[in-house]
Amino acid sequence: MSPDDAIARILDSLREALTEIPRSIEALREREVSGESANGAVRIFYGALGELKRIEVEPDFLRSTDNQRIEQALLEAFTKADRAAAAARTEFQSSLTFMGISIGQAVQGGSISGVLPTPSRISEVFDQR
Amino acid sequence: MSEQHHTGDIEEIAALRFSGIDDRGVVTLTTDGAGKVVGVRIEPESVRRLPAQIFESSVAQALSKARGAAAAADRSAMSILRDQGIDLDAARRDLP
Repeated sequence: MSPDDAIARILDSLREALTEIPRSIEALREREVSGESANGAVRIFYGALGELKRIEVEPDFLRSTDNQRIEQALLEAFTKADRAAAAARTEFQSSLTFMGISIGQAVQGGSISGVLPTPSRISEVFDQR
Repeated sequence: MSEQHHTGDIEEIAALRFSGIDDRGVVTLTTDGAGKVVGVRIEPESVRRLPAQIFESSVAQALSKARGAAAAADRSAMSILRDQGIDLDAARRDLP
């Protein structure tokens, strides 16, 4: 393959990735995660990007439970929903690849140089120092 | 200002707490700078009288207000940093 062909192939892959990533992020936003507490009496539903979708609280739990327990149950459900959303984002991040290289870290705000393998010649230079 | 100070400023913003109270005054939610719920307080007498569905919307409204306050603080912090010649929004956009 000529250098021009190789560059054209990389650019094609890049265009494809740039089209696909926003779609994937939108799908992630729509993905629902939840956290629950008090045996399911309190349930919080988030989108995977952390926006609140809905809250469900069983009426009996609200009427028959003391104040402090309701507060604890809400906080616990929110915390679990947060963790579930964070786990979904991590899973999404690790699934992003470009030409076989994981790029999730870079897309989420890291440096592209941090995720690309170091060229062997440079590795040798560092090894010798 | 040194780079270390900039990092410290950003960490301090993240450590701030923001509260939101629903219009009925039943639920107060506290979030951190990233909008994660870190505290819940409810008005015991009011909550007994509320139907569950109204209570749920009160919780949602309190969260929306707390996160709104966190987002406003984030915008203010960005503005302060921009005044100091640091544009984090631009830096984010420039990332590969």
